[in-house]
Amino acid sequence: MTKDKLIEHYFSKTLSAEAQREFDHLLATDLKFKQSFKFQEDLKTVIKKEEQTQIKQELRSFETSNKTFSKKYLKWFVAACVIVLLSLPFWQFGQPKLDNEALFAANFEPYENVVHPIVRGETSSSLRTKAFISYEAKDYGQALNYFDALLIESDNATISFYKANVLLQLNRYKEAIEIFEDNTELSQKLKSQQQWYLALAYIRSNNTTKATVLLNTVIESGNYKKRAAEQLLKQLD
Amino acid sequence: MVDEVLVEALKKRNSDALKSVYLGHKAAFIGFAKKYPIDEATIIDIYQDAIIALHDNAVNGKLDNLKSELKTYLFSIGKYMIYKKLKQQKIMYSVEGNTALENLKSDTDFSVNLIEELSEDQQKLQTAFKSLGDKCKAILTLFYYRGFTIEEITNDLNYSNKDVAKSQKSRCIKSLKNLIFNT
Repeated sequence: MTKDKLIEHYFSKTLSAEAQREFDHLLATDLKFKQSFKFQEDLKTVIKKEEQTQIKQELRSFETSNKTFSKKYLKWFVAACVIVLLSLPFWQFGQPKLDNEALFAANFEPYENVVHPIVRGETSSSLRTKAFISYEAKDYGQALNYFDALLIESDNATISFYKANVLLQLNRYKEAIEIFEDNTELSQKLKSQQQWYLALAYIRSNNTTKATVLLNTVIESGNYKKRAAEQLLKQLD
Repeated sequence: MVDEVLVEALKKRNSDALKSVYLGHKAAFIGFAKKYPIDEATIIDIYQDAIIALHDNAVNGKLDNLKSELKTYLFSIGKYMIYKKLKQQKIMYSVEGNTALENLKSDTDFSVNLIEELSEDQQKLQTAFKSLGDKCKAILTLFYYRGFTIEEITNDLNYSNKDVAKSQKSRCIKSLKNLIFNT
């Protein structure tokens, strides 16, 4: 392979192991090769810097001139949604399970905020407060952002429980199921609540078997939604 | 899935995608960063740098098989940058020391490679690069920054064949060298 070709493959990350050895050897022994390579490596750094500077300017311009964001963002959001819809398994459309969907809709309502009381007019603006203000204001998209940010700070079973509620509200029940299923550290006070919501999520995803088991557990514990669970169980049969 | 669409668009230098990622997570990031002792202007500056690093990694194909959400990844970079900033201001030394920063970096497996200062040689090269025509800038950027092969460049820039693209690239390098050595 020619020296130029070797350098070319280096930059497109397509050097074979053997060529890599040849490359390393030349770099150590051939001054001209080394100079030529260094020139191109410097060029790469310069171009990268150019790109980074341009992007920084672009980002700054979003800060100053951003009032027309929503329209463009909407375009992306819609495009993204279409793709998500297309990627869902076909059977969900092929066999409409309207009944389960309706059952879910009739019974689901995001769990009320019982963990972080919001005092109206309060000036405190902790992330947690903002999260629950958005949650209570039914601004679920924003609430999700805040819950995510809180969860990045530290794992918290209660916050996870509310996040999953938001996901259910946003129809992202599969993600909600994953969270509920893993959320084993939740305090005893909210256990039945979580089982109830997980049952609803299972119903929404047409997993009636799992839903039935959970609804029975909710009924047995008897401290939350016992009657609703009994009724729902009858409707599932 | 949504993230994959965005990553692909970022790679293609799509401005709308950049904007959507940037504005989409900005509020949450500011909320998240506020627990650290930094003012909002600095937070925004850090957030922009985090977006740049994210963009860079997308271009380099490091996000092709992203295991976490794009947002989580972005916040990890941002968090790392905040720690770094605090360390520079010596705020973190007493609290968490160096290990926190190192752990964060190894935990998240991302690289943040923002070019800050250029060497003297690189500065000359930069001046020369800036005075090149758009055609040269385009081909060199695809080759060196985005790591395209000559075949990919031929397709992307609609050259009639590989040899044309290749000799165009050589001419651009030659102009660059001329510009440097004649100034």
